[in-house]
Amino acid sequence: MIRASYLPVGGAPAYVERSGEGPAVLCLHTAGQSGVQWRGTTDRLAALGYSVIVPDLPGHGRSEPAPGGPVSDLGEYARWCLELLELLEVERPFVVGCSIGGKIALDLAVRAGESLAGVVAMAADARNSRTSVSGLRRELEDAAAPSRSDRTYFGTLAVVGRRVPPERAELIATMHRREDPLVSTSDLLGWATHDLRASLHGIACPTRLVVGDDDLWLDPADVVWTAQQIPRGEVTVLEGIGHYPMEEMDDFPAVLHGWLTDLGAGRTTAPGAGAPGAEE
Amino acid sequence: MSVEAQQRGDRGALPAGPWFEDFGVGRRIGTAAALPPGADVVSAPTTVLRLAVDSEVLPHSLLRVLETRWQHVFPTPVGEPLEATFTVTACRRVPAEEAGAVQWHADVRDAGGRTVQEGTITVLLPARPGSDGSADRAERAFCTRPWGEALARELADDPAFGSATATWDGAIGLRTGGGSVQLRIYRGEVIEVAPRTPLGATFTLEAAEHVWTDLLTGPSNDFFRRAMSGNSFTVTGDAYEYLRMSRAVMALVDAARRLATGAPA
Repeated sequence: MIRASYLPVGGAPAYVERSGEGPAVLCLHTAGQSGVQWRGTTDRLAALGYSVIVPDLPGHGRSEPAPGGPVSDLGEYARWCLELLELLEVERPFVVGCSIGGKIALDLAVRAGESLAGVVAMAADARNSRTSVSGLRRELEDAAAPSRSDRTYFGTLAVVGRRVPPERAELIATMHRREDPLVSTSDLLGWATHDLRASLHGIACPTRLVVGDDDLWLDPADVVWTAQQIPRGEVTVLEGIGHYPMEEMDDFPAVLHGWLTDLGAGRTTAPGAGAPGAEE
Repeated sequence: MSVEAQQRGDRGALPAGPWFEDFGVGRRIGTAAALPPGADVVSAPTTVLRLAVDSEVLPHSLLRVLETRWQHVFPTPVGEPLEATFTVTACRRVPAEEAGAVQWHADVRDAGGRTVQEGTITVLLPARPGSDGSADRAERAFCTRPWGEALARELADDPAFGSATATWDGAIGLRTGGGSVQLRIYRGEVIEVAPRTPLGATFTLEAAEHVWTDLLTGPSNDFFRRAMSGNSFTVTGDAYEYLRMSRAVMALVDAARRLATGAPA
């Protein structure tokens, strides 16, 4: 059973869904999207013994916009998440995120790793160098972003993995058209400019990087490098999966449960080793 | 003397082919043959051509190489197994020679599947005796005027393209190394197909022959993935109109794929 609330976070009402009892898991969505991306995960992960928390970041889904306007600094989202966790009086949560959510999760690992049980950062690395910042800045003007909805639709289809059935890929792309372009572009600016490389060595919690080998937005080598810089870093490459593992994989809750179990048990690579994990 | 040989006048007895007409765009042949240890990777086109001949991709006895273009993408591991995939990317009849030029694209990969060398080899093959080109088909003669005209006929029956361009007045250029064509579009209809239109193309999509071949004969319309990766198609002209026409371009590619593969709409 999902419990929905509007909570005062960051100076504006934030829509937050919660389900289940047990170790807390904060789930963060991708650029321009909302917690609806976790609709196939929330209750099923809760049934596996977790307290699942799924917010809509400011300006996304049912949450009101951030008081300062669209956010282009992922650090601001990370601070917002910490405020939410404090409000909910959550102790030692896991954090799981995808794309900008994955990078926000990495930021939280840098910022507050000693108080986290572990982090799963999907479809993210420490820098994300494949995005044109100047092109994104141009698209902040609506007149410079023609056919944005079509491009989001086709662009989403292009980064869904080859293992995903066409009808599921179609559904994912159709759902992603719901974005607010200004918010989404600002998110992507944050994704392109937030550089965590210099801070990775100080991450105090076990951290697993996850990347699909069909993810056009990332070079798996960059993700492996990121994991190698983290003292208890691990990496998983998902074969045939693209940029949205939680939407693409039927068995995602069970797979995530396995990762969280490993993180909680400290079953990650020994400090300093940083070797890539086995492909799944 | 055979009938075919008689038709060829004083050229004497002819081999039984293969002929120019036996090679269609999109034909792919993979070979697991390896470059022998110590092979001269600098003269890779010759070496890979040798592989092709040995693998019976190309007929050795009839071979006349017209052109090779080659690039080394990564250092080639000498002595290690390599794989090559050959794809026919263009076929052009040469009536004066009673022959035709067939362009092959070669993709040479190392044991890890990484492309280390790639290039094209164009060879001249004799035309089938008695053939005059009247049966040549335009469906895979990408970026030529006959292909553009066939594509325009396909688009005329395509409601998705008509809707996507219903408010548009412009021209889309389609270009490859061997040629280009423009589709002049007004309010949902292609009103002219020509090498040039009076005001020029609003925007032009350009890619190498093997990219067009893979896109239009491959398993799916992955134009957007190719465009997003930024390393196969280039766009010149009005970039904003190109973005605005995203759905129209996808519909155009869908139509070109139907044309190339004979798939139903």
